[in-house]
Amino acid sequence: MVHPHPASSSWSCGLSLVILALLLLSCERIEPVRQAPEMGAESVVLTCEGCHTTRAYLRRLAIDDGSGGGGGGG
Amino acid sequence: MVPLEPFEKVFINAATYAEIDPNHAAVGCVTCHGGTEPVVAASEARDDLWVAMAKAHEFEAEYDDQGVLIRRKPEVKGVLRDPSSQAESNCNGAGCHAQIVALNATSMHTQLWGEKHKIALRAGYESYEECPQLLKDGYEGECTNCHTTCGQCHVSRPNGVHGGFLDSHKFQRTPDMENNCTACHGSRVGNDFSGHHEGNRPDVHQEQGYDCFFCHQEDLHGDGRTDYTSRYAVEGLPQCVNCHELSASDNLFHEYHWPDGNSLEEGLSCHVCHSQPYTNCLNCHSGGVWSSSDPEGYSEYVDFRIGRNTGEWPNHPVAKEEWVTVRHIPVIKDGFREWGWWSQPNWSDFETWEYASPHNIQRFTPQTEIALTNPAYSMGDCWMSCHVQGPHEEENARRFLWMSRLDSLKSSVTGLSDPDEYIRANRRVAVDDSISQYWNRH
Repeated sequence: MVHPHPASSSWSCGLSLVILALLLLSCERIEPVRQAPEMGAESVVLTCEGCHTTRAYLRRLAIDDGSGGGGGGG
Repeated sequence: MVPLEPFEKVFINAATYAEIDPNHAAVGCVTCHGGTEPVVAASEARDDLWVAMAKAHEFEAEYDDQGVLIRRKPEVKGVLRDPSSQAESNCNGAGCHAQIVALNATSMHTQLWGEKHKIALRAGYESYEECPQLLKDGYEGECTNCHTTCGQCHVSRPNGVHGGFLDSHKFQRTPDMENNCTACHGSRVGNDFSGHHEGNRPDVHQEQGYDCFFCHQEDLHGDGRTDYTSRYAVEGLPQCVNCHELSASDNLFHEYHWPDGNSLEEGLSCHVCHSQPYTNCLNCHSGGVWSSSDPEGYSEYVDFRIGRNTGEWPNHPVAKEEWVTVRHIPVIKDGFREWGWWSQPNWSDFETWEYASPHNIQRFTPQTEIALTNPAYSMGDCWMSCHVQGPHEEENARRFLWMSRLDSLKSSVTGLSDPDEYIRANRRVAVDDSISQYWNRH
């Protein structure tokens, strides 16, 4: 029976921790959905039409300029 | 034409595509445009929609040096803007449009057979296939960019006018005259048909509310032939007599000039009497110079010229027309210099005044004015609006293409080492040597 070398085991454990830490750090740097303004804050887009319609476009415009849309007329 | 606003080009004006076009919606966006289904992309991207979008459009999300996601769309994405640019796989993917896709691959709209044929001959080659790659690359990279895909006729405006949906990505069985046909065929056909030139009326067919397809009932997807050397050789082109029950015995004009080879005098094309002045072009150059303000560059002008028919289409009805309207085409000897191609050794063997079919037909034109002002016209005066004699001799003479006109133009044509090359190219079209003594006291 072959036993793992004690030093090898602790090295492997350490490496796993480092990878886990890196993953957590990188995940933090990707903004979650709710903070992705250009994608529309309130919805999860699961269709092409979720972006490629006039309505979705206007909604994104309203979010981008912070005006909340509306106005104009006449 | 005025380009569409960016949002008009891209977005569909409904909640779902199925509301617009249920048939193509059933096929699905990804089937034609490529990319990854958004549901799949979103599941793979976990909770970041930018990454999901990147996956859906099949481009790699980018990160900066700090590992922060860069929210910037790359120029090249994995999806196809115009799936019909690969029609064999995308429009015929499930055998949907097999016959049309196969035909269209050889159509005049796709292949521009006539133009290719003349490019090869002027450059000294028997066929376009024999031309050097440098010339082909230039031609296919610039001249053919609006000739055209399925989508650029049936979904959007052509690329040549910056695209944009016709009606919210709804497939149009019949292309739109203004947004499709004259978007490409605008400077000549479009302007003529709409009467945009000062002093002209619109084409009578336009005044009656007809569009291109009223006359053009030939299949624009082609007939499978690959040996055409001119668009005028295509089978099934419109002929006036398809609709108009006219004959050589209708009136004196027809009796003397009916274009069937049996008239009392020489046969004229219908356009000679029934066209108004039309667009002519000079000095087209490649490399975008044609669209620049280069003072020696491309220009358009309005003219009307009757010349000899030099078309070589033996089985075509127009072959019997001896006198036709001719248009100056903008083919210049050094026209391809921007592609690095300078040589057109046979340039002067081929006319730059070519057979024309102006799309601005009227029953009464300056050439037939006598029939309007004197409905009781007779042999005594029927010729007065056209023959080069009598009280309108000078005015009428300006309707013909004389060698003197070629002489006056040759210095305006750029790129010639010897201006007489222009004369040699066009002498067969000029009327000097062949106009009847009964027509001409000039």
